[in-house]
Amino acid sequence: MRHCRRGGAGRTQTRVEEKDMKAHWKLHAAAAVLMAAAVSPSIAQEKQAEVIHFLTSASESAAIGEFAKAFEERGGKWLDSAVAGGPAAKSTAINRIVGGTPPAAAMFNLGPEFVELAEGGLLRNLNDIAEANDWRGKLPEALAAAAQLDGAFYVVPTALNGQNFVWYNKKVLADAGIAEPADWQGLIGALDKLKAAGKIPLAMAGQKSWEAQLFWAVLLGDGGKDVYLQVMSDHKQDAVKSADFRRALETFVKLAGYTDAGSPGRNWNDTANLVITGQAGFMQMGTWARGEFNKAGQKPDIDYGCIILGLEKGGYQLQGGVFLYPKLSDPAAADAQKLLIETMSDPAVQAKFASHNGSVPFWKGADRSGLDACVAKSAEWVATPGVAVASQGVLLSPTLNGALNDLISDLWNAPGSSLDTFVENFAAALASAQ
Amino acid sequence: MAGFRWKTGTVAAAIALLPTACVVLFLFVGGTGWAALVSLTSSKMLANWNFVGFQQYATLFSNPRWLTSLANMVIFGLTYIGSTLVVGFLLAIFLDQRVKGESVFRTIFLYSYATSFIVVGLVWRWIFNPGMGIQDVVRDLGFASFTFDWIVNQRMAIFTIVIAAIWHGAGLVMVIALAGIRGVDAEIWKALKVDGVPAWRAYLHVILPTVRGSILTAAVLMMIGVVRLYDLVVAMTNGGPGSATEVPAKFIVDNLFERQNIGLATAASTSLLVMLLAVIVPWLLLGNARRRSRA
Amino acid sequence: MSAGAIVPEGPRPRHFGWARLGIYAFLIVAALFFLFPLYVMVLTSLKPMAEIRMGGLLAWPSDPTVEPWIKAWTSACTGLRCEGLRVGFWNSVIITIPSAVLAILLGMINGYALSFWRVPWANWMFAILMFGTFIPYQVLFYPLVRIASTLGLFGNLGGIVFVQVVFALPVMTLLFRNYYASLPEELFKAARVDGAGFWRTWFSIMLPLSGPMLVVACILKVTNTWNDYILGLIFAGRDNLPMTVQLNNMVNSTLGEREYNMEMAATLLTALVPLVIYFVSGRWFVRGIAAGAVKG
Repeated sequence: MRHCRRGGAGRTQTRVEEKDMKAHWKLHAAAAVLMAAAVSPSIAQEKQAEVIHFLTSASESAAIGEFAKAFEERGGKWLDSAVAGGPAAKSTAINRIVGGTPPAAAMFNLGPEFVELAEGGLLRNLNDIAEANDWRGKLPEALAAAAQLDGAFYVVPTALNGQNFVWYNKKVLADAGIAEPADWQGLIGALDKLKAAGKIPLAMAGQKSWEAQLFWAVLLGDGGKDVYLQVMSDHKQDAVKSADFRRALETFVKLAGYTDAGSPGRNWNDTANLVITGQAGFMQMGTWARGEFNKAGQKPDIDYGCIILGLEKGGYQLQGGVFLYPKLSDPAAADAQKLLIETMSDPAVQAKFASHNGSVPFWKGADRSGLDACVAKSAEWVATPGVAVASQGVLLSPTLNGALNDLISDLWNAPGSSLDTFVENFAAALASAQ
Repeated sequence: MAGFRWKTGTVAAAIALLPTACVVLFLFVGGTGWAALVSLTSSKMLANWNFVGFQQYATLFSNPRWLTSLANMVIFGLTYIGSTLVVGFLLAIFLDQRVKGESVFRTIFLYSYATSFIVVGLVWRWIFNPGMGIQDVVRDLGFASFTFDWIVNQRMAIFTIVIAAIWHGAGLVMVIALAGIRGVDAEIWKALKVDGVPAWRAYLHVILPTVRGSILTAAVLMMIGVVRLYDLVVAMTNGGPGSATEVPAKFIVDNLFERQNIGLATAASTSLLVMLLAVIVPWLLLGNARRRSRA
Repeated sequence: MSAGAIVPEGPRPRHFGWARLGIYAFLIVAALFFLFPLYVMVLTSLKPMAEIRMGGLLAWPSDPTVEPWIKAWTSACTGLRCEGLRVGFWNSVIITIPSAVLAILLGMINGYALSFWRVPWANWMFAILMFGTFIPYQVLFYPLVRIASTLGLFGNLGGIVFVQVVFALPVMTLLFRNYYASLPEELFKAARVDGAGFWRTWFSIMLPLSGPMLVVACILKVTNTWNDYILGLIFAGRDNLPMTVQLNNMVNSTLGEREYNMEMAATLLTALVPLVIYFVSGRWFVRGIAAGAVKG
């Protein structure tokens, strides 16, 4: 679990460079704070707080609704600013902070994204609230680490998902006489049988981020946790040239041969529908895929199965969201913000939130009854030390993550291309991030 | 007297242009200059002033995705502008034949322009998808070997975007052309009719040269569309398969937001501007020369 | 056709047979191409999700339902609120009207001043203005946010109108500059001889001639503003968000489940206002106003 810690060697090095920038940003921050003071005279008699987030589908709306409800029950007034899509929501929040009208809270992704804002002095230090409410005791260690910078809390982890699940249609497998595979090699055997049975063996959403997601799942489950972490958190170029990496790479390329012609560009939702309607056997997707299965009236462990391949060797890949809280100059607004933070970090409220969109209730002491089979597994793995591993979004900088996505996607879509070239380019990308 | 008025008129014209001049100065010059400066820094999520020279440009031009994006922009631009101009003007000319139900046809050709790419891109993606779209439908009709899989083919995918873009933009060109044709001096039409000039010759030799302003407008509008092409690609292919349909604006926006690499994004947008300058400046000089000869 | 009253007939061939048939055949084939995606969208919007999951893109819905349309308008979730698209409808109207009027007005005056008057720095300004449109405008957000918030035009109605006008200036100016430049200069010279100044010449000579291009500008600007999402999101403030923000929230969730039928209905609903404008604008496409204006 300790591997979840952000940064590694790369961060410390860049931090030196960023010193100049820090000073500059303090100036900006000061200007923003002044402006905020000018723009919002203390009208906030009632404790109102605006929250920017990207939870917009029906189940996600219900989830964020739990936060709003709890906040209003405690005397707050929730102003909702929903913006679909993480990048759009995050840039809206950044623009608002820069433009001098920061929201009380904004949703970002779990990982190093908040660091630059925190270093610029634009975020509220949450340590007082964290101490008072024992966040260190209530959060799994890895998540507590990911929520801090230099020993201070800046974000509240929320909406946690397992990323490397494989979903399958139980009936399709039973009809073809296939048992649930345990690892990636086993999956390939099963895919061969499905191919012979005339089904789409592996339903694939052929978009860059999902192709990369599959790659990381294979690297973790087939290559193993060691090589995965050496690549991801230590950016070791030797690891890319290792036999473990090579084996995972070959498995990944092999998988491309089991997809259908319509795969490139397809939404994950349409892809899940292929599994739901029995046209396809397997697909790889995070815990959120459960939303589509539910909508179609399917039941976990009855109609569909969810597994992690090579769990022993690899682990359970965590990804998720966080809420961060910009510094507010108006004392009344800051007061409302405090109430908001306390509400949103309350394990009971967090559990209610998670119950709606299938994310994992990870705060200790939260009620975990009534979880469906897939989420229950997730909740158990999050709490078991050594099983949960951070995903690429948490461990890699967005820049490096994106560059690797490009490489992985190019390989997936031209499976005949040279693996040696891929390895070289991959190592070079890691080197440039050092 | 007239001379005096003429002078005050020029002053009035200058005053009328002043608001636009401010926008140009502060936003376009200021903003572009800001972007050019930031492109020399190591900015990530937020802009900073830690200068690193031309490092971002070195990274940019060794990035295969950026180079693919530039090539795609050229391929897309030439096919899209060429075909849309032809289709748009043909539609306008055919509509100009006093057809019944002109406004119904006009609305049909134009409605696509009103639809948002977010969802329409998805519809095109379905239509082109070999598993559920045209290929599937034709095969179900009994043509088992019919193949139309451009969108999943790395070489052809960009042309599916061209088709959808023509569908979206041809109506606007049609309207601009129609406005130009309808704006032609009525005397000219009368003269053409009296002389008994055949329709196709009238359009080709008389009307088309008269509406060159409209053609130019349409072409420039489409050029802007080409350089800014983003939404449609995101909605249809999201740049895939692989990097086959990546375009410069998507590269810039991805790096600006999702990849949190403002330095690289501004380097890309600045390079794009410099490259376009090489195309636009000759055109401007040509235009100025023509104006001078007219005056 | 109403144009017939003032203007002689266009140069159309006398024979009605094959040529006429060819004209209609071309137009109808083109219309089918343009309508095809609309057909898919309407069909999909009328199917229940279970049917959409089964595929059959072009199949007629076996159990048609208008429920997705009602849901899109009244109850679809767009974040915490589940009140559908209608929430932002009036905001879109209130943003679009002043943005379009101001942008078109400025564009006309700019185009006129650029085509007929010789202001020394004007061509430079126009060159840079056109050049500016080739920057993906997302790059300019950061400086623009700072400028706008300094002017007090950030996060309010004035802000979104300001930004909408600013980004429309290049295209609107271009549109009218090129159009006016193609008008016969004799018209302008005549006014000059009469001793009319800048504004009077524009108002009495140029404005009446601007009909067709005014329609184009209106179509262009209204559609762009109506369909804009990102500028509204950033500059309008949360009380003035246009309906495209709701549309986007309905259709663009990355990890959420999708309801394609409702998304199609929502898209078509959003497009209704521009569609009405397209249809109504027809009467402005009259042939040869130039001649009419000279005589009148």
